[in-house]
Amino acid sequence: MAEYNKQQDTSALEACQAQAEEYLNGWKRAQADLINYKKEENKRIQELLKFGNERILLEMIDALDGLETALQHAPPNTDLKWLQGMKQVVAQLRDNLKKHNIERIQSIGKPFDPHLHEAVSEVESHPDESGKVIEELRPGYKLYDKVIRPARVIISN
Amino acid sequence: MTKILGIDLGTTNSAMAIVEAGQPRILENKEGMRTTPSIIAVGKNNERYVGITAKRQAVTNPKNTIFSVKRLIGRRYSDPEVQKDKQLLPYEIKEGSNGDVEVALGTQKTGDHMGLMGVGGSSVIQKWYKPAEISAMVLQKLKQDTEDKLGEKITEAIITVPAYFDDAQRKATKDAGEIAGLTVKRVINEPTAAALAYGFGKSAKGGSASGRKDEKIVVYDFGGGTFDVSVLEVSEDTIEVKSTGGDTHLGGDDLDQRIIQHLLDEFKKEQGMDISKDQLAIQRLKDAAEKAKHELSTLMQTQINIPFLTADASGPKHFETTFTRAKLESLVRDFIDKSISLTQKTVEDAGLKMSDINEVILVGGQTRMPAIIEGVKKLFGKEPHKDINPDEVVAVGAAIQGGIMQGDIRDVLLLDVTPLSLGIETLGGVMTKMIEKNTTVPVSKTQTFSTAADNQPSVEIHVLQGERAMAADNKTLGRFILDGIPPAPRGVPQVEVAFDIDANGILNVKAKDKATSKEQSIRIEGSSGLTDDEKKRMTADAEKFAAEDAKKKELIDARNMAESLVYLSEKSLKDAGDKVTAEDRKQIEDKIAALKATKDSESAETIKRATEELSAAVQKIGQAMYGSANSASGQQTSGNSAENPKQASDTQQAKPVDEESVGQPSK
Repeated sequence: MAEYNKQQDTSALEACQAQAEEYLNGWKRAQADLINYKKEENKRIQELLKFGNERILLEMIDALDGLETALQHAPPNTDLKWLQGMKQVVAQLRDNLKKHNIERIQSIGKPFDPHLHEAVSEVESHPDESGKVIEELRPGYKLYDKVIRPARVIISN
Repeated sequence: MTKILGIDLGTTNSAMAIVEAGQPRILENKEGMRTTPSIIAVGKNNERYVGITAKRQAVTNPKNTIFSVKRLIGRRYSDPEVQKDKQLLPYEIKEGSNGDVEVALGTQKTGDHMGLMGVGGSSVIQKWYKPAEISAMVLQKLKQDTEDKLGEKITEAIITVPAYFDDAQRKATKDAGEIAGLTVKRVINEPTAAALAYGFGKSAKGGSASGRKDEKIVVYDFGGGTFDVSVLEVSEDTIEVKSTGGDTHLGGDDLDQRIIQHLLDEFKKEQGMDISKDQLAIQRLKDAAEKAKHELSTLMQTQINIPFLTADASGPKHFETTFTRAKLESLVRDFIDKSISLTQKTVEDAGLKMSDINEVILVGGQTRMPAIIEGVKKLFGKEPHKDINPDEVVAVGAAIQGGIMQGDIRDVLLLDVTPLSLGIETLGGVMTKMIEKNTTVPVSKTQTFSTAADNQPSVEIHVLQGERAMAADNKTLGRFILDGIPPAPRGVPQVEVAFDIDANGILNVKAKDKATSKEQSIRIEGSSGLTDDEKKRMTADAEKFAAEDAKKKELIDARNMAESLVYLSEKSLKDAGDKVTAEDRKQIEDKIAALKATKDSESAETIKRATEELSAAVQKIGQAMYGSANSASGQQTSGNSAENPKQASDTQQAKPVDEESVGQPSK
C-alpha cells in the first residue's frame, strides 16, 4: 500500500479550495455583471423610449420652421381667413410637438447661453443689451431637458 | 477595480470608451453625444465652455475660442508647421519661455495685449496657456462626464495620438492627461488603437489561435480636419508602425466647403443672387450640405429643399435642387484621389507592395463615403474593415488597450457561440428553431409542442442544425422517439422539448410528455464540429434561398392552418349534432371538401382563400349553438381555435411519427 502523504494531500486540497474559491468568485462576478447589465439596460431602454423619436421630431421641427417662415412672409394681399387657417395649422403642429415633450427655447432678450443658443453673429447695440440675444434666426427646441437643437441667434456685443 | 478610460483626443472631435464586462462601450457626454468637439472657450462672462457649447459661441468670440490645439501640442514655436498653422488660427499664439507654443485665452480688454500668465495689468484678465493645459480642459470634461455617467471615480486613462507624433508631442499629451487628474497608463497610436478595436494584435486576449503572424495592416483615417495613413506590422504581441503619411490639412470639412460652394453657385445660377455674405443663409446651406453628404452615403440622390432661404425686393427666394452621389463625387474627386495616392506612397515608404497588405481598416467619419470605400478597395484589391463606427473605433481601441492592461479582457471567460441555429422538425417538414445562431453558450431553451393527429401515440424529435426554413435543407444531428403518449385529441398532449448546450458545446435534447412524465433524450457531441467552410456555405445558402424558403414556409403554414381548420370544423359539426340546420351542414361540408381538395395545391393563396371560406362558414355552428341554447361550453373550440389552431401558451405541433396520420388527421 502506498504510504499516506498528508502533506501532499493537504496541498492538493488547498489547491482545490483555491480553485473553488476562484471559480465561485468568477461565477459571482458573472452573475453580478448580468444583474448590473440588466439594470443598465433598463436605464438605456428608458432613455431610448424618451429620446428614440428625437430624429423624427427634429425633422418635423424643420418643416414647422418652413411653415412659420412662410407665415411671416405672407404677401400683404393674402386672404385673412386663409391666413387664419394656416396659423391654426401651425398652432396645431406646435401643440402636437408639445404633447411629445418638445419645448421651445426662449431666446430673445435673454442673456446668450451656449447651452441653449448658437451664435451666428454679433451686432453693436445699446450697452444695456450687451451679451443678450437680440434676434432669433431659428428657434431652438428641447426634448424633455435635452437641447435637441439650439436656437440660432444674433447677439449684441 | 476602477475602470480605465480610453480616450481618442482628436483634432476636431474627441470620444471616450470603457471596457465593461469584457466589452468596449462608447460613453456619451453630458449633452448626450458620442463625440465631443475638442474646443475650449472663455466667454465674455468669464465662464469656461468645453465642447459643443464652446463651438456654439465661437463665431462671436473667435479670439477666445481655442480649437485644433492638437496641431500645436508638444511643438516648438519655430516649427514650420506651427508657423503655417498660425496663419489659419484666429486665436493668438506666441513663443513660450522654453521655445514651445503658448495660447492666449481669457477676456481681453481693448488696447492691452501684454498680459503674461495671468499677472498682467489691472484691466487684463488674459492668460497664456500651454497647449497641454488646453487639451487638459477637454480631457477634464470627458473625465467628469464619464464619472457622472458611471457614478464612479475615473483616475486612469489611455490616450491616443497620431502615429507620427514625436516624443515631445507624446509627452505633452501625457502631461495634458495628468493635468486633468488622470494617470495616463499609456499613450498609444491611433492606428494601433483602431487595429486593436478590430481584434488584431490582441494576443493577450488568449485567442491567438487564429495564427495571425506578421500581418501588414493599413489604417486609412479620413477625419474632419486631417488625413492620416499608417502601415502597421502586427506580430504575436506587438504592433509596430512601419510608416506614416497623410495630409494634416485635408479632411471632411474640405468636402463640406466644396458642397457649400457648389450650392451657392447653383443658387446664383438659378436666382441670380449671391448669398455668400448672408450669414444665416450660409448656415442653412451648411446644414443642408452636411445632411446631403450623410444621406448620399446610402442614397444615390437626395433633395435639397430650403424654403425661404433668403429674400429680395421681389419677395422670398427658395432653393430646391436634386443632388446626386455622382455630382458629390465629381466635386470632391481630387480630394479622394489625393488620399489614395498618399496611401499608396505610405505603403511604398514601408518598403511594401499593395499586395503585401493583409488588412485595411477605415477610420474617420468621412470613410462612410462609398467613393472612398471603393477607392481603397480598388487600391488594395480587398474589402476594408468598416464595421465599427469609424468615429468611435479609435476610442474603442484605447478602451480595449486599457482592458488588456487591467486584465479585464484577458480574464474574461472566452465563451463560444453556436455557429448555426438548432431546432427540431415540426408539422409539414418545417424547421422550428430552438436556439438561434450566434447565441452564447452555455444556454438552454425549453418549448412545449403537441401532436398533429388524434390519438397519436408518439412523437419523433428530429434535431436539426442550419438556417434554412425547411427541415430537409438542414443538417440532421440526430433523432429519437418519445412514445407512450396517452390517447388524446390532436393538440392536447404537451411535449416539452428542452435544448441544452453546455460550455463544451455538447448538446442535450430532451423530450418529456407532461402527462406521464415519460422522457427521452439524446446527447450530441461536437454539434459545432463544422468546418469554417461548412458554416460559411450553410449561412450563405440560407441567404441565397431566403425568398424561396419563405415561400415554402408560407405554403406549409397555409396547409397546416387548413388542416387544423378542417379538423376543428369536422369535430364541431359532430359535436353540434342536429343543432346545425341541414342547409348549413351541407354548406360547411362542401367547404370542408373544397379545402381538403385544395390543401395539397402548390399555391398558398388558393389554400388561404379556401381556408377563409371555410372559416366564415363554420362560424354558423357557433351561432347556431349560441342561438339554440346558452350552454357555451361545447362550442368554444370551434369559435376560438378555428382562428388559432395553436393552443394557448406556446404549444406547437410536433412532427408525429405516424406519417399517415399527418395526411388524414381526422379519421
